[in-house]
Amino acid sequence: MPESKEQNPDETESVQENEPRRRAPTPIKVFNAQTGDHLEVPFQKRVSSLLLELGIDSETVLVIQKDSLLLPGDSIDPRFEVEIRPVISGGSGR
Amino acid sequence: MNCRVCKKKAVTAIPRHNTAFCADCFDRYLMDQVRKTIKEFRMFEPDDRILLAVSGGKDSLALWDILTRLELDVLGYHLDLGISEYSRESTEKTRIFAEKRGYRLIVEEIESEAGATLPVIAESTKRPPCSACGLSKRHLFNRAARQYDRQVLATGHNLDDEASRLLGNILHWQDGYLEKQLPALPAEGGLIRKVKPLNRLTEKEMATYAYLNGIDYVIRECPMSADAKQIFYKKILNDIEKESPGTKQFFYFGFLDRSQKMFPYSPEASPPSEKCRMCHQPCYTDICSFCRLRMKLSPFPDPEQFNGTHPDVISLHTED
Repeated sequence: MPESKEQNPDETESVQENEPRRRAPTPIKVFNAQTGDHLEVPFQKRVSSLLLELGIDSETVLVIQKDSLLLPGDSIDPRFEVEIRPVISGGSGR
Repeated sequence: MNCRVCKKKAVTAIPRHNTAFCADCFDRYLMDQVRKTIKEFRMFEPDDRILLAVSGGKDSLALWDILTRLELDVLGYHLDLGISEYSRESTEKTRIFAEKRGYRLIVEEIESEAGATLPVIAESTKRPPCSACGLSKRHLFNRAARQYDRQVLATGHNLDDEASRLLGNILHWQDGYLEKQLPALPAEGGLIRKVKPLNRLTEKEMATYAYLNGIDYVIRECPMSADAKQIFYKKILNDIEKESPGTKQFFYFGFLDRSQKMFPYSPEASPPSEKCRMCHQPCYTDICSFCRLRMKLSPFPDPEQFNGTHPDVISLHTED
């Protein structure tokens, strides 16, 4: 009996997973509004992972993209810069 | 994540209340919180005229906007601290904010009032910058309130400011400061009534309000507060808050609930009964801390600044 040319679906999936990606993921441009620094970080799909990558507590910053506030669960559009705006102030008061 | 009220896309989440809001519902929430605070602590009397201390930061500019929306009579007061570019930006943003909205604003310079800029004061007197800043502001805010016939001084201290200050005061058992750490201090002994209508709202909530309302505030941090302990305490509280949302508010409001019992009225903590013999502002001794600071900076100041009663002049006349 000839050997079937059909592949096991699991194997197919496995091969696809191991294929090298064709395009490098777009890095994300980040602007720190307090320091004025611009930096690039590896692509992150969501705000929460971007903040984790930057070591920032989500409760200490506003995250802004395209004139909108983003929440930790929101997706990031890598075509646009993300503004990180720290909210913590200190000193003797105002 | 959607708004818990109207189900539209949320723009902010508030973990300690386990909720999230769209822009409109967040605005209603924030205004309700301020109204509740004003009512609970009886911050204002009918027909009160308010002096609002405005730094150019998110909290004070947002509070100005909020109090005006509540149809209160507010006069802004900005003190230019003379901290190079930072103060120039703060003063400019405050002026622009007031001009655009038609709000009334008084601007004074610490250099004119104290004889030097804040960096020079801190350096010359060996005081920590935040201490020299606080001392000068307390004096000048009170003086301005009296000068412009204002019954109450409002400041933009938020929940993070108050909780971190409370933590610092407890860690060092600053009984005198703990006793006075209230959201509304009555007028007494020549000191004007002081209120903090934002004490129920976090820094993030105030920054969100400022952003959503197009308030252009000074984002960068005061360069002289980089080592301030308060920022360190805020970080500690935020770390705790992350693990246990609501702890910060529970800590601060738990203190307020107990403060009367913990720190009952004592005559030793009574208001100043003296008047500074140089500037005639209320004080506990014959010369107030601000005038002593001015004397350190300039042993021969302009007599007009001291109403002609500089102690050196007095002693010379006495000897004559």
